[in-house]
Amino acid sequence: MADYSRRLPVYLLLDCSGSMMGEPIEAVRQGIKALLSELRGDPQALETAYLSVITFDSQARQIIPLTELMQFKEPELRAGGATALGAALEVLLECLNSEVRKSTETQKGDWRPLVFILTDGSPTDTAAFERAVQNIKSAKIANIVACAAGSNARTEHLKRITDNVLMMNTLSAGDMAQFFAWVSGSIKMSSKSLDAKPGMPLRLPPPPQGFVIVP
Amino acid sequence: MEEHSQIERLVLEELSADLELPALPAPPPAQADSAPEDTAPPAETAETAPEPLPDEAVTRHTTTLWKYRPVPAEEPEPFPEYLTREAEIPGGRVIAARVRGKKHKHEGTNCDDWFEIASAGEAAVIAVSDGAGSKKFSRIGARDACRAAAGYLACALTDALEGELSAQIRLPLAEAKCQAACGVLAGIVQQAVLKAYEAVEAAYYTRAADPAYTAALGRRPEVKDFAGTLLLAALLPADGERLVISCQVGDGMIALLNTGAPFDVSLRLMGQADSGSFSGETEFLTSENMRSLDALQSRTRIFRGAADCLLVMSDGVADDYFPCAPGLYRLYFDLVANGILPGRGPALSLSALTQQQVRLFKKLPDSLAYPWINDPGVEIALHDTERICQAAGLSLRGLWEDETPLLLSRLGLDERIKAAPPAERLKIWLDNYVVRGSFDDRTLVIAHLPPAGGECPADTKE
Repeated sequence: MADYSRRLPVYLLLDCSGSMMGEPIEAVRQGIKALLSELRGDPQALETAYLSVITFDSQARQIIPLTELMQFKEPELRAGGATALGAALEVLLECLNSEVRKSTETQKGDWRPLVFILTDGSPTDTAAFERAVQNIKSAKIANIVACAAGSNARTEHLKRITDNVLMMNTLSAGDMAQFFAWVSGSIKMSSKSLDAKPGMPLRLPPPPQGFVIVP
Repeated sequence: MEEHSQIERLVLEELSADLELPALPAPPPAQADSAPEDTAPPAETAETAPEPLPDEAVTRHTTTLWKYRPVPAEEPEPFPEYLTREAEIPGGRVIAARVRGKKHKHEGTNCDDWFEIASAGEAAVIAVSDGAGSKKFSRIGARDACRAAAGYLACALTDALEGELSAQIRLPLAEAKCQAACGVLAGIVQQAVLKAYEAVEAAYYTRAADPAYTAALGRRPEVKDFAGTLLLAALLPADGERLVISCQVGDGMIALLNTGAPFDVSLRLMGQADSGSFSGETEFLTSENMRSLDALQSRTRIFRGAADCLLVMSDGVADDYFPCAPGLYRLYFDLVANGILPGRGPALSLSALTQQQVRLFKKLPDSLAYPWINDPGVEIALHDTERICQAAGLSLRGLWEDETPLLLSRLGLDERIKAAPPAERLKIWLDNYVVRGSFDDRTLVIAHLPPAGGECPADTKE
């Protein structure tokens, strides 16, 4: 019955624009390592969580398709270029539509997908961003958490994508580590409260110290 | 065996390499093309996902990570780890068990499922409820809902059957009087669901101001904290047939089997789980739109006909057999193969097998054991219909037509299962079968009504 085992799809949308070059992108790499190590110690996550990575710079692409944790291979991240967040959201929508299984008569659907967006700037592809925001809002097919990292990140764009917006002040390795620790906590918590009703506010662990929830 | 070595390799590499990743299987050859750079696919194309691991590779790995923590003693109203029940009913027997799911065991939280069985003269009543997993006191609502619904239904049925109704339900189903009687009984079942809702409300308001509950939640409780599903079924004899009336709010499944009938007409689902487009999005008794008789009307099912097995289960079991048609055949076969239901045909004995049976026996897979989460030193080997079908090259239909592979599998049943009474067997099985991604509480109530001369689960002998 391998085809019917229910998955918790998790999408990481990572900003790889030029401003992430150097320490920030390295911190993201380390963060993903820690995230994997943490989740791989959790039997529930191992049995249900599937991870995908979508990166965006001047373009957006899904560099890792939805993959079970035991098979997940760390992505190679390189920073450079602009911040095509709009394109990333379009890629996300495509992936949600093509990879996430809905319940049907003969198939148990996946759990509601969880999406984490990490960006240190604001979208440079404004037209695409406007389109994508409309589509994401009307599709209502995922629980989305967005994190604005560093002093240049603008939260007002993110607020248009989701009500769950976090802000972290710096792009330091320490903050990034905390962010990814929180992401793994959120994934674990989600895989524990999988029967939450649709439309209910997402239950996530409290954000780490130094992070602000944007009202 | 190949699978095993791969798993061990994964585990070993993971343990030894700290943050290093487990080795990946080689990518499928089609993807391993070495196209020159200029003809490389556009940047938007993702890598192809690796071949998914066999589920057993994943569950063999996670079995080492699941921990057992008892129910917390400091929280109000700790619930028992297990519930089992056996009850004689007219014409048969009910066996029932409910086990705390791996998730709750791992986290040291209470089981949220409950069931009740009641008899009402000739009739039997079964109630199962699954408290909402995200609500801390849903177990209390689940228990009170079951008790209120089963209690009310048993009394109301007893009263109703004292009158003309008892004769009317025995009339041919096509007769207006019989249909009217069924309608009356359906109304009683729906009233019982409303009683369950009232009981959930009562569970809330008697605790609303209790500091122990506020402390456990970190806020005042709300009705929603006691939310749960309800599966309710009344089972009555009707002129050599069975009359079953059920009503279901939320997920789980109620189903009937007629083991004497041909495959295509032997399974009747008595409910359709509420669910949204994603898994786990279900209705509860406390949902605003569940409180009208109209809403319950569409969730009521009436069956009159031949049936010898009524199965009522929480989603922790139903999900493992999804889609329920034909999945519940697999459930029935698992129950037979593991000695919980007697199966059809005479029991076999190792010393008296035919040549053909011996050949088949040799083809069948060994039962499969995982360390028991409560005590990894204990492993109880169980049979699995899917593996039996694969090994014997059989479909579910084929097994239905000839259960011999199941009866042969039972010959190698674990001694601890053999020695246990039926409800205990059911409990052991529920507590030990492993399915990837399945760690919810599991409740299964079986009313077994063998045709005249047939065996009851209690008489099962190997």
